[in-house]
Amino acid sequence: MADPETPKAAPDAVAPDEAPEPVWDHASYHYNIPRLHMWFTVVSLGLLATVGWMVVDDYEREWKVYQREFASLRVAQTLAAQASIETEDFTAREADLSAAVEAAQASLDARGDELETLDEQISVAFGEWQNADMDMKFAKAEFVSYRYDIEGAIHRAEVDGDVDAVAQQRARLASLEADMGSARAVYEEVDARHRALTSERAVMTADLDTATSALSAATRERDRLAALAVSMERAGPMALLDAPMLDFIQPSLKVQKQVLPHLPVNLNFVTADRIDMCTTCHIAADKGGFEDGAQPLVSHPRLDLFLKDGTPHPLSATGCTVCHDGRGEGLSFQTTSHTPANGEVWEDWHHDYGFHPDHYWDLPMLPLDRVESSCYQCHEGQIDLIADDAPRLAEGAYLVERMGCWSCHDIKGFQDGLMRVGPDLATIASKTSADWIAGWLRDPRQFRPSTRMPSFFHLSNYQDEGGAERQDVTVAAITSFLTGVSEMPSLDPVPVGDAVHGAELFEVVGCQGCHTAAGGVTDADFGPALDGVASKVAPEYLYAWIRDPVAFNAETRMPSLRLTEQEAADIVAHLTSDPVFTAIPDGFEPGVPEVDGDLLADMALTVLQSSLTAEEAQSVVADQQAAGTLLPYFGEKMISQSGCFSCHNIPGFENAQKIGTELTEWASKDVTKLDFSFLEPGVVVERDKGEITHSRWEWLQEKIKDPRVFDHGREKPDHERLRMPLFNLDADQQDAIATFVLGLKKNLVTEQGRANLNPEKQALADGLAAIRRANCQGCHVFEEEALAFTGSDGHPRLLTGRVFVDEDEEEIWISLWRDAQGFGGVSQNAFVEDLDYEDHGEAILDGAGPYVAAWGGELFPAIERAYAKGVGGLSAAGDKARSFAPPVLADQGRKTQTAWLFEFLKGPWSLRPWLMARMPTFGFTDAQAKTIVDGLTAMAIRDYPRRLLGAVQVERDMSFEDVARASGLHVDTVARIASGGLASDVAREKLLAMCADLGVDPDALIGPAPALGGFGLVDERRREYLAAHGQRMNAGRDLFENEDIACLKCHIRGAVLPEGSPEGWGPDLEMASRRLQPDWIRRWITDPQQVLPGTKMPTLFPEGTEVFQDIYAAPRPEQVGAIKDHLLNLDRKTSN
Amino acid sequence: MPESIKAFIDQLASPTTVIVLSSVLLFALLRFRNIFASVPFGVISLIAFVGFYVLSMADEDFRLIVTKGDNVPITIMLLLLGASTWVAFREMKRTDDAVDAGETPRCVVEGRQKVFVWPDLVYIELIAAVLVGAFLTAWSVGIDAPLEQPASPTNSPNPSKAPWYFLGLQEMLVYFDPWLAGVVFPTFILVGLMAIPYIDTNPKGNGYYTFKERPFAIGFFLYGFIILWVVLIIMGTFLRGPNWNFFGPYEYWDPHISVPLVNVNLSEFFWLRWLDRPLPGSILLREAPGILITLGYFVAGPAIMQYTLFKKYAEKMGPVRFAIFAILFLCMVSLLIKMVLRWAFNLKYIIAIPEFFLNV
Repeated sequence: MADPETPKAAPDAVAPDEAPEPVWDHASYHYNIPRLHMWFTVVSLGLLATVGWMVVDDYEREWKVYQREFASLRVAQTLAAQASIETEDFTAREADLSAAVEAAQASLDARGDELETLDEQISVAFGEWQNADMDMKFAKAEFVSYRYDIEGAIHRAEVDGDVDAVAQQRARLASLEADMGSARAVYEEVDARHRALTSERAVMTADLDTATSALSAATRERDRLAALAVSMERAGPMALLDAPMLDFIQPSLKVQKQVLPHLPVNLNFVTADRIDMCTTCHIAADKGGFEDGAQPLVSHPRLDLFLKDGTPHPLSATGCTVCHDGRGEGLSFQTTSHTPANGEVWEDWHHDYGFHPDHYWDLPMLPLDRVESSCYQCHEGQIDLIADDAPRLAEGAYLVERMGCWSCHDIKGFQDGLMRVGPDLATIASKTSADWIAGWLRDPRQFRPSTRMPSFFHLSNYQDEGGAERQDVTVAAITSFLTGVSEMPSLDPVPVGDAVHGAELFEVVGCQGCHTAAGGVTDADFGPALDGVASKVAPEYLYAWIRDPVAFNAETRMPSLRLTEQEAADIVAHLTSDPVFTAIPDGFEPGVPEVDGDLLADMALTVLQSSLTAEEAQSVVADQQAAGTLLPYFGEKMISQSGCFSCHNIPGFENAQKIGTELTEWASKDVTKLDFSFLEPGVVVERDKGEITHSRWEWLQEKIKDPRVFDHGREKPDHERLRMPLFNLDADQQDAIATFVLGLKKNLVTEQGRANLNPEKQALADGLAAIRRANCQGCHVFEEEALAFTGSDGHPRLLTGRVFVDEDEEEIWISLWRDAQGFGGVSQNAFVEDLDYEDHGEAILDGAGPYVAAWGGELFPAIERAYAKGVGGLSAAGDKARSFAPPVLADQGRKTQTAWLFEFLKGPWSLRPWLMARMPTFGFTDAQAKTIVDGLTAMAIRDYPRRLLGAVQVERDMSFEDVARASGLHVDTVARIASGGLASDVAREKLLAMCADLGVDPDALIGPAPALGGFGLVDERRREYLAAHGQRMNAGRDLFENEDIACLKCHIRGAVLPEGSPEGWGPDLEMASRRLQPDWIRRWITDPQQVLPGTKMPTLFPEGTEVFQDIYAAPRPEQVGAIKDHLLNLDRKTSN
Repeated sequence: MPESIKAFIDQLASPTTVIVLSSVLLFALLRFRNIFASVPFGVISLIAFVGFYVLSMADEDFRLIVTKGDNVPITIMLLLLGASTWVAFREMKRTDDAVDAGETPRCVVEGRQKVFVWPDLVYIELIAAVLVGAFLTAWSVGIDAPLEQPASPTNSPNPSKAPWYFLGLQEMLVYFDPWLAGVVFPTFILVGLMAIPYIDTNPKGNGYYTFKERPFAIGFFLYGFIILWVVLIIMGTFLRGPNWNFFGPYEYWDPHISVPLVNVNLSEFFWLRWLDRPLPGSILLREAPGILITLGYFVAGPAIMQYTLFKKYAEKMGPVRFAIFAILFLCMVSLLIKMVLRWAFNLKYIIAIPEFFLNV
C-alpha cells in the first residue's frame, strides 16, 4: 500500500496560532502506518493461505480422489486390452501390412512429381469449384427471394389491377433465372473437371489406398483402444482442465447422478424425486471387469440382475438407495450414512474415515446382509418369484405367514386367504385333558420341540421374585377358562382297528407329506410332529378328526384323505399302540399348577384396578370368589391380554381386535420411537446384556431373539410388561423374519416403478403361493433335482434330471433312473464332464455342493422305505418304489387339460388304483383351484424359454456366446435363462426370433408354447378333425392294439386291469381324452424320457429307427400322431 | 478431569444454582472490578477458561454438545463477551482513576481529537474485512453445516431449540405464559432499549468509559444483559437437553429421564392449602389474591420505589419518566422473582385464568 496522498490542509482543524505541520508525516496519523502495513501483509497472507486450503480441500475431495484412481485403472484396463490384442500374430500381420503400404508408397514415389503436379491441378480446380459454387448459391438466392416478391405483387394486382408492374417484374425474374442458369452451367463444368482430376488421382494411388485401408482395418480395435487410453489419460495440455482452480471449465471428474422420479423419497411435507449420486465414488459399480477391485472401485456382484442396461434393474431406472438405503445425495463417506457390517468393520472405518453413525438420517444404509429386504417394496405379493434371488426375504415372508405373526400384527397383504395358524379351541376339552393343556402352556417345546406355538410363560421378564408363581397362576387360570368354555361334541366310539395295516397306511397314504414323527424318514414340517400324539389326544377325537378334519374345524389346512371308517380305525389303532405316539415326551410335565387363592385374588385385583376403581374391583373379585369362578374369570382376562384368540378360535373372543403393533410400515418408523430400554447406548445401568447400536435392525433382532428383552431392568406391574411370546426359531429364521420386517417400508414407489407383472407371471406368483399354502409339494415333485455349477466355458449351468453318483467308477451322472435301460432311453444318460468326481462326488452324495434338491416330494423317502419292506404284498426297492409315489408334476402345465385338472383339484378321485398314496380332498374353492391350475400352466410358460434354449443349443451345437450373438441378448442373460432365471418377455421374443432366423421350428423341437386359459375342447375331438383324419385314426387303433406295442399290457382301460404286478401299471387310458394335452401325448409317445426322466414308460419309436411299418407305413411323427388321435377318442363308444 | 470434579459440577448444574451463582459473580465483579480489570486476572481467566475447555473435552458428553456445529459460535461469543467486558472495565478503571487523580481522562482527550478517514479508518476496515474473509473461509471449510434430517411433523427434534439468540426468550417460556414470554416481554425489551435515551437523560459517560459516574445504570444494564440474556442463552445452549430438562455439562442427554414436575397456581395455594376450602366458582374471586398481588406490584411498586431506594432518581426524572422506568424495571425484576418462586415453591402462575388464556 502506497503512502496516502497529501491530504488537503484543513484550516479549521488547526488552531491559527500554531505553525502548519507537514500533515503527511506518519506522526500525524492516529495509527502507526508501517505497523498497519505489516498487519495488512499478515492478514492478506492469511487469506491467501485459507483460499489455498479451500482449493486443496476441494481438489482432494474423496470422490475426486476415487475418480482419479479409477481413471488410471481404466487406462490400465484399456492398455491391458490393447496388449491382449497385440499378439505375435497381430504384430507380424501389422508389419506385413505396413510393408505393403510402404511398398505402394515407394512405387508411387518412383513416378516422380506426377502426383504433385496433379495435386496442384486439383487444388486450382477446387478453388474454381468453390468460386463457382458460391456464385451459383448467390444467383439462386436472389432468384428465390425475387420470386417470392412477385408472388406478392401478383396477389396485390388481383386487388388493385396494376398488371403492368407485374409484367415488368416478370421480365426481371426471367433475367435472374437466366443468371442462375449460367452460374449453374459454370459450376457444372468446373465440378466435372474437378471430379475428373480426383478420379485420376484415385487411380494413381489405388494401390496405396488399398494397402492403407487394409492396415487400418486390421488395427482398428487396437487403435481405438489406444486413442481411448490417451483421451482418458488427459495427458499434456488437456491435463490443465483437471488442474486445481481450473477444474470448473470442463473437468473429467464429475458428480454422477441418477434422477429417479418413479422411486420417490418422502420428505414429510413433499414427495421428491430420488437422486442417487452413489456412482460418483462407486464409479465401477455398473461396469464389468472390476470384480476383484477394492471398495469403492468394484463391480456390483450381481451385474446379471442389477445396474447393467438390459437387466431388470438398470442403474438409470433403479439407482442405488431404493435397495441399499442411505443418503444418495451424499458425496463423502460420512455423509452417505454408510453402515458397517460388524464391529470390526466399524473400527476400521472409524480409523480410516472417521466414521460415526449419522443418527440424523432416517434411513441409514442397510447392512449388506439386510439389503434383500428392500426387494419387498416393488415385489410385494411376488415373493415366490424372487425367492431364488432374495432367499432370506422369502424365508422371512414364509415364516411370517406360517408362524402367524400376522395374527397379532396387521401386515398389508397377510390377511386374505390365510387361515388361523392355531387349532380351534372350541372343542379342546373333548380333545385332551386340563393337565395336558396346563403342561403345554407352561412350555410347549417340552412336549413338541418343533412346535410353532410360541412360549408365553416364564420368560425373561418374569424372572423377578414371585414371577414364576404368578405365571403358574396365569397358566392354571387360562386352562380353567378353556376347559370351561369348550363344547363337548358327541364322538363315535372307535371300531376295532388293525394296527399293522394302520402302520402301512400311515407310511404311504400321505400322512407323512405333512407330518413327521420320531423314526420317520421325511422332514415334513407342514403339520405338527406327531410324537406323543396319542398321549395328548383322546382316541375318539383322533378317529373323528382324521376321517374329516374340515367337519371339525372349517379353518384347518388338513385335507381329507377320504379314509374309510375301517382305515381310520386302523390308523388310530396304530397311533394308539406304537410307543412313538403313546409315550409322553421326556421332560413334559402335564398337570395343572396349584393355585394360591390369595395370590390369585391379588393378581385379579391389580389387573382390574387398571380399568376400575379399587372398590369396584374388590367387589368383582369378591363376587367371583363367592361363585367359585375367579380362576376362569381371571383366565379370560389373561387370554384377552395375551392375545391367544389371534391364532386360536376361542368362544367369546370371535370379534377381539389384534393386540400387536401394525407392521405394514414398520421399517419407516422413526428409530426414536423404538424403546431400547437400558440397552440404549449411553443410558446404561446394567451392561450385562451388552450395548446395541441405535438401529432398527438391531432392535428388531433383539426383539425377535427375546421379545421381552426391552423389559430388562424395568420395574413394571405385570399387565404393563411386554407380552409378545417367544417363538421357536433358530438364528437363521430370526434373521429371515427381521429381514422381512425391515422390508415393510412406507411404499412410495409409483406404478411405473413397481415390478409390473404380465398375466403369466402374476399367475405364476399366485400359483406358487397357492401350492405352497396347500403344501402340494409335500407329496408332489414340481422341479426335478439338478446340478448347478459353472461350466468349462465360465457360464453357470443347471442340469435337471435324476442325479446319481457312480461310486465305483467315480463318475457323476445326470440322467434317468438307474434301471431305465430295460425300458430304453439309454441315450439320455449323460456323464457330467465339467464336474470332477474328486472335487464334487462326496458333496453331491451329501446333498451339498452343486447338488440342487428337487422341489417337493417330501413323502418319497417314506414311500421308498415302506415299499422296501413291502406294503399290501407289494415290494419294490430303491428308485423303483417311486412308481408308488405320487406323480411328478414338473411341466404339468403342458401335460393335462386345464378343465380336467380344475375338476380333479376340486374333487379328486383315484387315477392310479395301484397307488396307496392318495390325493386328498382339499375342498378348494373355484378361485383356489383356478389359481393352482393357472399356476401350473405359468410354471410351464416360465420354463419354456429355458427348455427352448437348451433344445436349440443341442440341436445346433451352440455355445452361450453363439446364442448371444444370434439373438442379440447379453451373454449373461442367456446364461441366466439357461440356469433357471426368469426370462423377460423381451428375452423370450428374441429367442423365438433367433429360432426363426436359424430356421428352427420350436413347436417341432419342444412342442408349442404353453398359454394360460384353454378350458375348451381339444381339436382332436372335433367333428371336422375326425372327418379329416379318419384314415389315420384307424391306423392309430391298429397300432394301439398291436401286441408288440400293447398299451393295455400296462395301462388300465376303464374297468379292464392289466396283468402283472401293479408296480408296472399305467393310468387309465380312457381318461386320456379329457385329461391329457394332445401335444403332451405326442411328445410322451415319441420320447418319454425327455418328458419325464426316469419314467418306466418304454420308448416305442426310438429316434432314427423305422418300426411298425407293417402296421402303418408312415414316418415316425405320423405314427405317433395316429396313436395320439386314437387315444384322444378312446372313450367314444364307436370309433371308425 | 477427575470424575469427582465432574460430578460436583454436574451437581451444581440446576437453573437455580446457575442463576444465583452467576448473579453473585456479577456482583463480585462489580464490587472487585479493579482486580477484574488487571492484566494478570485477565490472563488467568483466559487460561482458566481455555484449560476448563481442554480438560472437559476428554468427556464425551461435553464434547458432543460443545463441538456441535451450531454451538461453536456460542463458545466464541463467551470469549468475546469476556474480553470486551474486561476491556470495558479496564477503560473504566483508567477513567475513574484519572478523575480521582484530578486529571483529564485519556478517553476524554482522545474523544476530542479528529483522525483522517484514510488511512486511519478505511485502512483498518480493510484489514478487518480481509481478516473476517479469511476467518469465514476457514470456518466454512473446517466446520460442516449442522444439517439434520428432513423436517417431519411427526418427529420434531428433541430438544427443539430456538436459534441461539432467542434461547433467552425460550428459557422465559419455562416461567411465563407464551403471550407474556413470547409477546409482551420481547416488546418491552425492544421498546425499553429504544426508550433508554429518553428515560436516561444523564449526559455523564457519553462517549467515554466510566463506572463511578454511572454505577446503577451500568450495573442494572449488565444484570439485564449478562444474567437475564447471555446466561439464559448459555443455559439454553449447553445445559438444556431433551424435553427441555436440565443437564450438567458432563451428563448424557437421556431423552427418557423422568423429572417430577407438578406445578401449582397461587390460587390453589391460597384456597386449597391455606384456607382449606374449595376453589371459588367465580373467576374473579378465585384469582383475587393473584390479581391483588400483581396490581399491588405494578401500582404500589413504583410508589414505594419513588419514596425509598429510588428517591433521588425520581426527583431527577420527573413523574412520567420515572413511571415508565419503574414499570420496565419491575417487569425485568419480575422475571427473577418468578424464577425464584418457581424453584422454591413450584409456583406455576400468580394469576391463572386459562378460561381466557390469561396467565401471569
